[in-house]
Amino acid sequence: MDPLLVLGSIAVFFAICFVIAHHGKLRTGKTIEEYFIAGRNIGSFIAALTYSATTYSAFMMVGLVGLTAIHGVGALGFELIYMMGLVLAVAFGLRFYVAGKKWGLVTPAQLLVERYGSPLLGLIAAILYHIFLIPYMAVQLIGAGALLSGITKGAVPFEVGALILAAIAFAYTIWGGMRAVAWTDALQALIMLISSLLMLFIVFQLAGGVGVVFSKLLQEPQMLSVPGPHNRFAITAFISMTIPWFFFSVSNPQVVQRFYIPRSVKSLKNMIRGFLVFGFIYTVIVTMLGLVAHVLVPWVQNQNMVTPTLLTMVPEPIAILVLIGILAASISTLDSIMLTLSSEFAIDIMKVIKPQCSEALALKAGKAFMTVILIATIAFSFTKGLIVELAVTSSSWLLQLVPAFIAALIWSKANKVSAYLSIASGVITTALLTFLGANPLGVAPGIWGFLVAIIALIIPSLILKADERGIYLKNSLDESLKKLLK
Amino acid sequence: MGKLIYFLFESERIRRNMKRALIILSFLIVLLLAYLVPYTILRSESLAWLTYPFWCIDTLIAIALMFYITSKWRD
Repeated sequence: MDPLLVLGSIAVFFAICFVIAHHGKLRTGKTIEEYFIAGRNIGSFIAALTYSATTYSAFMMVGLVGLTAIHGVGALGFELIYMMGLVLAVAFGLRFYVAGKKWGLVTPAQLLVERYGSPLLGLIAAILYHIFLIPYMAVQLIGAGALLSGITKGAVPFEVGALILAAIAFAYTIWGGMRAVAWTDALQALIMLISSLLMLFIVFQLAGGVGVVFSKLLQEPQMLSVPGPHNRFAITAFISMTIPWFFFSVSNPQVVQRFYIPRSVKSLKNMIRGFLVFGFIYTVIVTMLGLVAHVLVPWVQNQNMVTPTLLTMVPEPIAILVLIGILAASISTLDSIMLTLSSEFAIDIMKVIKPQCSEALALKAGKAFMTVILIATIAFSFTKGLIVELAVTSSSWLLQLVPAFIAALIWSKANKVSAYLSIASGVITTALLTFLGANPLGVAPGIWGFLVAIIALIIPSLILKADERGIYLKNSLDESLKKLLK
Repeated sequence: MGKLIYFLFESERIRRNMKRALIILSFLIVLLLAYLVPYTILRSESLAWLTYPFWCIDTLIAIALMFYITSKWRD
């Protein structure tokens, strides 16, 4: 495909996004709460779409299509178990929302600070978020780079593609904050869904129709069952992949921060419900695309290259629309993470390093720090790691913070010491097993770390005396919830 | 009278707790089936084609349960 046409189309699309972002900026006040969580005033429709666009990234149309094409329907199970994990958003989302409103929380790590009374704990969580999310941000750039390079047959090199995406995401995130991100996410989510559906329709036709595709697949039962033709989804591997994914909705700060943005409980409810519908449809489309790709381009063995190869086979206007849909998916995840990390820096790091700093200065520092995050992400993306593996790795590390967060919301006996011990022991266990290259019983290090983090939270909480502050905050949260659920 | 009110209140509370336990149990079963069925019953070649629809239906049930739970959320 003509590189000029590709770059021109991208430029037009992102110019539209920038106009939307600018309108978002015009509606945004000057406070930290306005910039990072849009003043807690996002309605149902936009909230559902920004949640969807933030969650679904290049991982879906590049990583998951490739995974399904090469390893079969296990990829669907892997992704649908993630959807089932939304039960955690249902179980704790309302608590996050109420806690956010009650205590004026802007970042996820602030919840730990408020509940356990330890700014240092918030600082540690914020630093860990920065470290663990860079590989996941790099996934977005790798997806975009591979795609642009593949579709233009190398005329736009991988590195240039990655840099273009990084620059666009950076530009309008820093410009408009959460409102700009949420509004552009909404448009991007719709494009993701429509373009992928259109692509599915066309590749089915290219492959000879639905009947032909399924009759060919029926001749390869291994593709239609687990563990798949290359044993990728052996039960232990499947468990190792799905557990971090199941907890995604409460482990990833860019997703948790979305519990703070709805303007009402009704908006929060619709955000979660809207995402469930969007997510299910999108997952089915993407995995179907992977199965058709298996029939259509069986010679492609590099997971990251399945979608780019498919795009060279469809009519140019469709390929461009799909390309924009995928770039939209990448950018909507990238900008949300960038904004969340920037808020973590401004609030949970700056305010500890320099407690007297004003809100305006903290906001400036947060925005400036986005540059550092961006450079680190670009550097990491040039390693060109496998998208699925990098995404799961990020979630495995983030999992180590989950017990401390959940306990903060529901267990009055949990205290500062147990939260520290939980996070530290989970991270250390995961790090040790990872660096030793050990997978006891075939289960990944992150899962063992998670188990240790749970135990390290429970035992000290039971032994040590619960602090008054924790009991008071937990009870006041429960009271507010009771009123809402009457 | 006081005892009657207490009894009615308590039975309502027990009923609510049982309902909650039932929903949690249903969800756990749905989740467990998502792991168990594809790795046991659907591994045979003749039933392999059922894995995809099974996972979809199982997830739809989970989504329906989540819709039900959130139906209680009000401002």
